Amino acid sequence: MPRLVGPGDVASRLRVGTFGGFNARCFFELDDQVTIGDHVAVGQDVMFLTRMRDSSDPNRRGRSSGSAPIEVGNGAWIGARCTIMPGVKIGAGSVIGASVVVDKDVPPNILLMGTRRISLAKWR
Amino acid sequence: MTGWEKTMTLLREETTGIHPRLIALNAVIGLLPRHHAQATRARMLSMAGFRVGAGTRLAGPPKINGGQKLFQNLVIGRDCEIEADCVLDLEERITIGDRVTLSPGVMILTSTHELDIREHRAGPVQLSPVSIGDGAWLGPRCIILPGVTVGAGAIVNPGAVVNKDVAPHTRVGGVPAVQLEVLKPAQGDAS
Repeated sequence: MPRLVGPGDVASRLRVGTFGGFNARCFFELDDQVTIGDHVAVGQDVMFLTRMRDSSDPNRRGRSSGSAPIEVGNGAWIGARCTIMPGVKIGAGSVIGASVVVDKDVPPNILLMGTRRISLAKWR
Repeated sequence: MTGWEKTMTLLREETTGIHPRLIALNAVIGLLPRHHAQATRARMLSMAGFRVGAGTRLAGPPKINGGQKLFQNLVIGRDCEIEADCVLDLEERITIGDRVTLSPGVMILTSTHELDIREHRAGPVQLSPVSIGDGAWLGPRCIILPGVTVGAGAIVNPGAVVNKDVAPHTRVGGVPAVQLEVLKPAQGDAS
């Protein structure tokens, strides 16, 4: 069962395409829109976070400061235990390895594993 | 050691993690929907015997486990924000300061093992307290290992594994965590 949390009408902020698959215990923090394309596979325990935090206040580094949407392109594959940070766009056909924290945009057709980035552009 | 003493020692070991008060607490706060009733959840934690400061909010029930002194081992300051699925290992004292943010999935550990002989590397259990300074922010899914002190106003990046002390007003990240950035402290702050 995926967990959806967030204020107000949570269901309206999650868009999932066709032929996708989510494994167990996915977590969606739906303060903002999460858009997932077609043919996307998501592994176990993946976290989609949309709540931004502003670290400029030294007395409270984790002050909430709005939210940012997440977009996952068509055909992407996200491995188990990944954490997708607010505002990230994962390109079409990209593969994220297990346990990666995705805090920057991922271009299309990239394999991300640990700290390595491998292009999958020539793979089929 | 006689058979009777052995049985009693074993029984004590086996039951030391059972806390009726904690079971009752979990049963009640488990019914509250996540990301709602955040102040009520904190109030219930303090009613159960934990020290939780005013204005602290919990988005979900923290996963708590620990030995006999479980209820004395958690001290949370004022106006903290603790998100869902945090794991707090209360074998030793965890001190959380004021205005601290714990993102989802943060794990704070206080018990580990000594490195032992090769036949059994995880030796005797070793306990050491953890303290989180005022205004710190622990990113999602980071792990704080036993004995670590996170300084005031420090930031732990998402997914970091912190095995050394974190200086105040710095940002650490990675596995194991290293210092990535020195942040600007408060105006008029000596440190």
